[in-house]
Amino acid sequence: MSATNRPTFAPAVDTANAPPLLSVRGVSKQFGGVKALAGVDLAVQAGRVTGVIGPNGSGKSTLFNVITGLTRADSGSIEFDGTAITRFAPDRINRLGMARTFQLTRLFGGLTAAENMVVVARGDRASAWQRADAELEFLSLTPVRDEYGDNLSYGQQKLVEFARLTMNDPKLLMLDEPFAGVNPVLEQKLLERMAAWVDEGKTILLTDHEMAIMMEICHDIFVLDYGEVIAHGTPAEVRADERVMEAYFGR
Amino acid sequence: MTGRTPVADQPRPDDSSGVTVSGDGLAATSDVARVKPLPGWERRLPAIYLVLLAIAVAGLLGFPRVANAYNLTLALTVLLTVSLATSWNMISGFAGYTSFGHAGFFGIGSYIGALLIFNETMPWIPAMVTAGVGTSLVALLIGYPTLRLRGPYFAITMLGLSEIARIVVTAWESLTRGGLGVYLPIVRDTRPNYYAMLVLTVVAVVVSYFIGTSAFGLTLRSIRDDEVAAQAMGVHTTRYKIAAFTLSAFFPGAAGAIYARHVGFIDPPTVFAVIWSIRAIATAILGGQGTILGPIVGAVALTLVSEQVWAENPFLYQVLFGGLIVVIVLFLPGGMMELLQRRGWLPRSRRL
Repeated sequence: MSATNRPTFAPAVDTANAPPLLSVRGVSKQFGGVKALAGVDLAVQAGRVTGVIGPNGSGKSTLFNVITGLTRADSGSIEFDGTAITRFAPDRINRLGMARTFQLTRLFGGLTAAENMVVVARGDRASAWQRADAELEFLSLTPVRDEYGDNLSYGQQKLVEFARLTMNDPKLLMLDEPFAGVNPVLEQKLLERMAAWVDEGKTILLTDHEMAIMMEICHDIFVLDYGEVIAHGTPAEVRADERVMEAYFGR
Repeated sequence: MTGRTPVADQPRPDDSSGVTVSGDGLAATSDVARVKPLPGWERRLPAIYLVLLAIAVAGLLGFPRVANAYNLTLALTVLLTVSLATSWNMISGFAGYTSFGHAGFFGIGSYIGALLIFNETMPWIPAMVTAGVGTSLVALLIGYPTLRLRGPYFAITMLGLSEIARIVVTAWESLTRGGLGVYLPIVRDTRPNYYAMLVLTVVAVVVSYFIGTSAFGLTLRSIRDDEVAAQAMGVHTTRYKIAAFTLSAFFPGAAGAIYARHVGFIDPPTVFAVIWSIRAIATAILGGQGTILGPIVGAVALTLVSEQVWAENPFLYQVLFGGLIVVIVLFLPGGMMELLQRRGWLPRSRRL
């Protein structure tokens, strides 16, 4: 699939100079003798697509888990939308307007596709079903609406997890390796959904190993290596950075 | 498909190139990939249940007229087992938190009820309700710390707490008369106990129905399937778990009190016996955990069978319970409900 087919990712509004929607300051996390994160600083501007790249084991997933409250940081602070969320429980962080997907999809296997979405919805139930149906329609998933999560194919699970993300209209969407193991048709589908989110003014923070896509769709990129941010900037700036090439190719 | 996908409420003439259900590697692994409207019978299910419940209650209300003392006690045991298994299913079947602590709840309820009657604090019917509420309060207290533990850790902790409850009741002689046990006034008529157990069981089943078909139950199932994902998507998992646990503890508590009145004497080894937990677990697993009807089906089947075995060999029936759990978990994790559905004798629906 050529790049020209890809949807465009233009930020709906220019927020480059506004205070960041998410800021991570000096966050460290150690597992036994392994320093997963060593004083990470990262800022996500509202309305933009921010990418985190880095070799396997560089701390990307740990960073995601720390931001979403699944893992508690040893030190450092995290602020989201003006609230210090460093010690908040995951559900509380989500209710502030942050939702995430997982590297390996985590659907509720005993719930249908539609139920997977409605179960996390807050507020009016009837409208939740309507929103779920509309979102399933958008992703061409209506035929499997009442199929159990366990019975869905990998691609369908991935899409339902995407659909579940926006049930409560979050401000920040965190996608952990959305393109891993994904075929071109599905890849296109995911990209279209993401582009529509950016159009709606949502903010995306994602990590992935698909460098071509990352360089194309991200507005800002942070490069992690051994738990440290070794470079950040626009895709062009990052690509030109010596240390990034070294971390990736060991040059 | 190029550029933006049209929004959902617009017509989509070019839909053919998008993700379809088959052909492009995104097909469902099952062959049921089509829109399934709620079938007619399922829409009428509340009415069907209501009729079945009315028939069952009418039959059970009339049962004492025709039954002898033995059969009435047997029916009381079936009802007790339905209550225990249905309540266990609330926290362990729907929410996936396997509890080995229902013996503890049963024992605590027995003692609350028995002591309230023994000390003539209140008439026996309010004493039953107080026993249920008191046991729920205990569950509320221990639920907050214990429900943070997952899988086997929760199961083992509940087993331990159940034992601790037994030891506390044994040691606290000034309140509980310790190992001497509590003797209650002899009640010659079994029928009031039977009716009380019937009311409790009906309430348990109705509550179970509402959990099984409500948004609350759907949330419990999401916790069972993937608690981390549920929490990350904003579900206040602790609150739901504690609610289910507290609700679940009411029924063994009240049932324990009715049991105490029925047998007329309780002491710690009998009412805190682990077999009460095993009984609830074996019954619910045999019938089908996480279903509304499973614990009822399992209770009828298991109580009637174990009654026969019990008559032959009192020790064998404990072996039967334990062995049954192993066999069912290994070969038929969905229990009898799954078997009936697989055979096509029952429709596949989660509302059963």
